[in-house]
Amino acid sequence: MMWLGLWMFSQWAHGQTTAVTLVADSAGWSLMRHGAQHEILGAGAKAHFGLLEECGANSIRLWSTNKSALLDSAHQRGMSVMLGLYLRPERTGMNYNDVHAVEGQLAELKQEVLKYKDHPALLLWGIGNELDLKYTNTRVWDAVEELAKFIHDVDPNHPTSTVLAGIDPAKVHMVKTRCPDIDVLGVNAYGSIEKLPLNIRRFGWSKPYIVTEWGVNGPFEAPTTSWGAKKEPPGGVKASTRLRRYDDIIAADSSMCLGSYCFLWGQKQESTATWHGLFLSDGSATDGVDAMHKAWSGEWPTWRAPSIRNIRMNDRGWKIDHIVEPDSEVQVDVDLNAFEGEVQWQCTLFPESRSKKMGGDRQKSLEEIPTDFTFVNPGSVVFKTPKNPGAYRVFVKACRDGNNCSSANVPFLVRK
Amino acid sequence: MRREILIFGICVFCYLGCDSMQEVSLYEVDLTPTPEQLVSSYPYRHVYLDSCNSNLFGHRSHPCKRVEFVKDNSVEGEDHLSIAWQQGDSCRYLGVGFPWANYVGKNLKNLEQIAALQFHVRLDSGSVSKIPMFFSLVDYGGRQATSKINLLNVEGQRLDEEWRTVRIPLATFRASEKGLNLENVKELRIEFQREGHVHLDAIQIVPFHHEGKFLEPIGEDVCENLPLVMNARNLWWGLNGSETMGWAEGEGFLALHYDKTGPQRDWNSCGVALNQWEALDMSEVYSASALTFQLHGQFSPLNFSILSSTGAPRQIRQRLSLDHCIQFEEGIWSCAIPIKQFDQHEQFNWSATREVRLTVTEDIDAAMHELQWSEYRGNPNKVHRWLEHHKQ
Repeated sequence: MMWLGLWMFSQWAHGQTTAVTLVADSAGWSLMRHGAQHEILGAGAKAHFGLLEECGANSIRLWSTNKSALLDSAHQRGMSVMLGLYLRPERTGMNYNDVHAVEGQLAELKQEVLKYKDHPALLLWGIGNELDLKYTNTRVWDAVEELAKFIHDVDPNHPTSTVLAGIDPAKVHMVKTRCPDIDVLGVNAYGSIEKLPLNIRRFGWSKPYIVTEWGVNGPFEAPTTSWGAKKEPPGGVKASTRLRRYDDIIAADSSMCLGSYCFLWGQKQESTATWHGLFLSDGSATDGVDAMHKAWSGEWPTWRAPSIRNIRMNDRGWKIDHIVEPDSEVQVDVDLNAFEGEVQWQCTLFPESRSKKMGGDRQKSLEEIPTDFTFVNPGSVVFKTPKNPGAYRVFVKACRDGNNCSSANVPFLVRK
Repeated sequence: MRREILIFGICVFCYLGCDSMQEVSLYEVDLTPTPEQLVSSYPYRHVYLDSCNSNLFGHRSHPCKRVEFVKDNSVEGEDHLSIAWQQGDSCRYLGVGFPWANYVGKNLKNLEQIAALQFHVRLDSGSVSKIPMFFSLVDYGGRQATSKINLLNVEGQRLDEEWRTVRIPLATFRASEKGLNLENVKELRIEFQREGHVHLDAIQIVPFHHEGKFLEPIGEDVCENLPLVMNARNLWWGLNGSETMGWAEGEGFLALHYDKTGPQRDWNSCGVALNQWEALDMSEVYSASALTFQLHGQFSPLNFSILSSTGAPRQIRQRLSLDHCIQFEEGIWSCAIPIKQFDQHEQFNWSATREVRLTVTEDIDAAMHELQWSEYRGNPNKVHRWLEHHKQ
């Protein structure tokens, strides 16, 4: 009898602990989990969970159910998960007029919902990611709604969301009217984050929202050189931008914004290997990680990474075009906030990316071009440009203890 | 008389009899083959049976992929394929190929709508709703068309430890769309992504009826008649009651009260959908049209934009000036902005017109009445003349 009582209590407790609810009061919207308010301090993360936890994060975002083991990793660390259900975007060839293809896709995803709905780390569902990017067929929203409605039927414990690539009045209208079972709007916002709270209201969204991807302005928003290379701000500038956007925009909109997932707690190639990632390709953490530590916990970490504030080529800044002769000597200088301790320097040269991929779609990593670099001073390096004309990019990395780094780069054109 | 009636009756009988009793052959049969017969008689229908009787490439194992021929528990033939893979930076493409029938060029054209690629698949353990494997038909010109498993065409709609029959309709490869020559197919390739481990067997072409239902496209509405009246309040955005801009309660006008130094100064834009936020084709009418309205109150140089769903530029603009308006009573302006005055109107994608937007940059206290997209047959550079004429 006692065992039965314990079992019933555990079932009741399990039900209590896993239910996630949305509550609206005079202060605005809140997400409740474990009976308490759960402000999402999150990251799009697939690794480095220890550091994520140390920095004060409490949630991760997964774009699909492909790496479901990450749900367990998150749970082990007491983190919640926004779990993506990958609906194929129109731009990848999906035709939302094709009944067979749509129904097959929904059948797959409904099985995924049933599989993961009781996972203790699950916070909310993310139905589709950037389905609106370059789309023309609004029937995609009917597919989103069908899945959201299914989730409400089988899983009353977790809210539903869909994630937009930025917002405009048309997209908000579509989600509002075609997807009434969507509880929370997810918005991926880079440059457009500056006006996001205003636009959420102006465009008429009245339920809560989450900034599901954010960071520095993306390559698609960046100024370009005359030969089309994107100009990436130095690591220290990007870290400052992240902190300001978090404090002034995300945390400041507590009445509608349930929190955010910074992009990207890891590394990926998107125009460059360093643009969005808070980690470098060798796994070392950047000064952007320190900025997120400050954002989430309110304090800087004890040991801060060096932070590159500026980079110049031949004494001219990174914002202007650099056109140089083949096989000519050039000097690159960086301005660094070293904080404390010894800094190790490293320089690498790559060809310029020619990828035309969009929306964070996967891009190929580039092959490094072997080059002799000579550091004439800390933060000042000299090298010879390639003999072959073309577009290149030089990267400088400043690290402490090999795993706390900042990087910056300058695109340049070699022309006779 | 009776005899005449009898003869007449016989004639009628003969006439009707000749007409209704047609000649038929006792031995005539329909020789058109059924889809089942067509596919079953196709000489190259077996794609993969086993390692002894079928062609396969890409089966050499390496750190990212392991291909084995397993004798136990096969569906057909001596053995079946066991393929395990894990994608990594050193092996971006992982796949196997079946140049079946010894590389002969296969003609699948006649089978496209009546057949499917069928195979059997199982996992070692567990169950999944999808396997990251993609099936491509490749022709002798190197072009290929790809399809994938649709759970609706999986036996039991499950992928697990049981052998499950899977069918991929040939029509779903969308050969003509991808430029694949279905009359000269060289091989089938299977590409594997991410990671996984499957057992595969008995790949063949089988009869299959694929309904392939497509819904009518939406967002292709054409505007043939003007005016378009823009007073559906639920299709406006950017309104905040009467604070800076909003519909006056019970009235049919847009109230504009904007103070560029006030606390609501960011609420300076609003817009209206032309077709429930779907694209509207204005190609036929735009060149002889204008945005028209009345402004009651203070004149202000409002900024108007027109937006499309696709194309570049996505937004075209024109700023209201006194050249667009005549004052026909104190404080009442009648205005028209010919569409041909909008910058880059010739590059704009008029087939996907979506929204008219209004931005206020200067202080204003006015009401906008009767905002319409109207027919405009006047000279775009002589708006006053058209307005005067129109007024009369």
